[in-house]
Amino acid sequence: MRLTWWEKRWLEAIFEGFAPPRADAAEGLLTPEPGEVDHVGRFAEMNEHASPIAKLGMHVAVHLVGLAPVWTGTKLAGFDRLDEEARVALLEELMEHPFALVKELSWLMKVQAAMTLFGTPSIRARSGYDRGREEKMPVRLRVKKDGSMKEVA
Amino acid sequence: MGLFDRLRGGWVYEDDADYVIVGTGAGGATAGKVLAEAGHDVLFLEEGPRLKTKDRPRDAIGALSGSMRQAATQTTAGPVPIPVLQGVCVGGSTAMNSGIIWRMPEDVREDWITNHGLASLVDEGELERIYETVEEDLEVSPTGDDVLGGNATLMRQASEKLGLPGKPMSRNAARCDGKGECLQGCPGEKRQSMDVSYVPRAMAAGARLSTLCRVEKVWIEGGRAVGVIGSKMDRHTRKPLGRFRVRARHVIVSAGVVHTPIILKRSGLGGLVGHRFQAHPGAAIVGRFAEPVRMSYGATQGYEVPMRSRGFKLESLSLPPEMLAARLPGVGAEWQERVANLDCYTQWCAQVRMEAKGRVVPGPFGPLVFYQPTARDLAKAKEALVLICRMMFEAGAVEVYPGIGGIPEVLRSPAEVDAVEAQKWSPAAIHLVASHLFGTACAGANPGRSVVGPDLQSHEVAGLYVMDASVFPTNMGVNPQHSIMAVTYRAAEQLALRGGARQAA
Repeated sequence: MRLTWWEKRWLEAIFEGFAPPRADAAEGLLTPEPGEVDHVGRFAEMNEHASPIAKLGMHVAVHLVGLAPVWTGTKLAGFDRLDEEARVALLEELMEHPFALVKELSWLMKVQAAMTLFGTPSIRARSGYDRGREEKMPVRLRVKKDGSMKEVA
Repeated sequence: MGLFDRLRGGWVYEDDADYVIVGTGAGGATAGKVLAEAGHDVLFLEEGPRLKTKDRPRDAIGALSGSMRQAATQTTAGPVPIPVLQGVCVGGSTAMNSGIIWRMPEDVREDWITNHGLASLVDEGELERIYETVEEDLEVSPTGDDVLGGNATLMRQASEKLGLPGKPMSRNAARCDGKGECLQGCPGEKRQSMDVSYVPRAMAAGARLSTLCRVEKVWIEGGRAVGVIGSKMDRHTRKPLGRFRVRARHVIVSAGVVHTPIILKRSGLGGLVGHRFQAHPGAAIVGRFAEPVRMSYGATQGYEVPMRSRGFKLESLSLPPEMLAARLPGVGAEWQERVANLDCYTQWCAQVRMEAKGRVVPGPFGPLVFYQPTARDLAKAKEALVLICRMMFEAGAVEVYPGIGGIPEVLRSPAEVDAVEAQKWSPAAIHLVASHLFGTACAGANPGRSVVGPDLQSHEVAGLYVMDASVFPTNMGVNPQHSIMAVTYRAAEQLALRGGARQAA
């Protein structure tokens, strides 16, 4: 799925809005380090085989949220120009929006953000998801050259 | 073959067979196995690739984009799109489902006999014999306590406390070791999906398999099916490389409920092709527990609460972390706190037997599925989801996330569930997903009310058969894989007997 340069900037900012990256992670929060997640690359990979309608929907969603600061009256700028606090507040507003279309497309962005975030092996490892399995069976995840994961006993 | 096809020519691949089978899911693989073991020359054509288990990605992105149709973005058309999940690889949807096995309920069988004239297809004694054979072949057994895992065990506790009719699921995975990766392809090939069971068995009996072959239409001459025409696809881009044709004495279309009617329509069949699309759409609720649940260990789906009289079935459903995280409420620090403890959640879903009927038609970018649940369907879904919320608190959840628009994102007590139940839910509020699909080329004795006869041969075109869930005249209220296999097994046995000895096409 091809994205324009401004779509890439918005996409990165939107996904980082859901889980803002920090060099100094706060206790009890799952915080990506800056540059740890390849949001744009994973997003493109994920949507390579998507249906034409779904691809169109993704572009619409990126533009809807990317331009949300303007049409909500927050700021005359794209989403990437907001600071961290404003990004979180705006995403919260969009996820609770009275128009179902806005809410659904914002939720779609959150689904995609979760996919790219937890598709990153180091983030998955910190989430604790695999703890139960590690105790039951000696399984480790190895990162392959292409970035995908492989189980090894 | 039309004039356009003759002029276009340039075939990159040509072949012939006694039987060409379009699709390798539960229907196609079963038909191929029966026919090949009866000594017939069988050629499978599969649109997707053959995925070796060791090469299948373990992350959700890779799993969805590599083996599911349109990377799981296929949806119904209309104001409230419902994702429609289908596999597109050798094994079809059986290569990523949870292997849940249910025999066809007796009331469904009686309805098919009484109202659709299918007595010979669903003969009680014959089906019983076939069920036993398939269950032995696919190592069907109830999920053992050792691999139930935390997610299913908590559902069992809640079910027992509330006196609900729950039970461990029967699955085609007797040797399951609880890795919880059915969606990504069972790592140890413990689940007997078609790609590791009936397709290899058919090939051991002489069947051939051509992958990345997308069949576009049935080749018809003089009112009889004589083969299929389609496009050979590139493995990576999934774009057409060139056209192919296969001659055959019999054509069996098993491309699934969405694509079978499209192939039939492109081949010139009309009537009720594409009509009577039905489904068991479902939705899921997530619960948070104070102690680790450890969803990552255990059968992907291990426990169920069948409530057919109420029109739904509840199931435990473990998800990969990417999908689980997307279901948790919050943005920023609130979400980051929740996703930092991904081992503390359960997810249980409801599959609803809906009365709504839809239609599949060809569209500019692929099939269009028009389907809209009725008000009664949504009322059943609401009843099921409210019950799941109550079960989660009964099991000890500290927070429940309904994921339903217009009601609170987080419930913290059973009293809040009562309040939610009293609220009116908007029709678009429930995020439904459909994976059990039925109809679109229904079987029946009356040609005016069906597409194929009780032998699953087209009423319009001799030598053309449909063998997948498209032929089901109704949905069932239980997981369909076993019934698809039983019905196609029965029809393929009858066809093998009629087809006589091996004969070159």
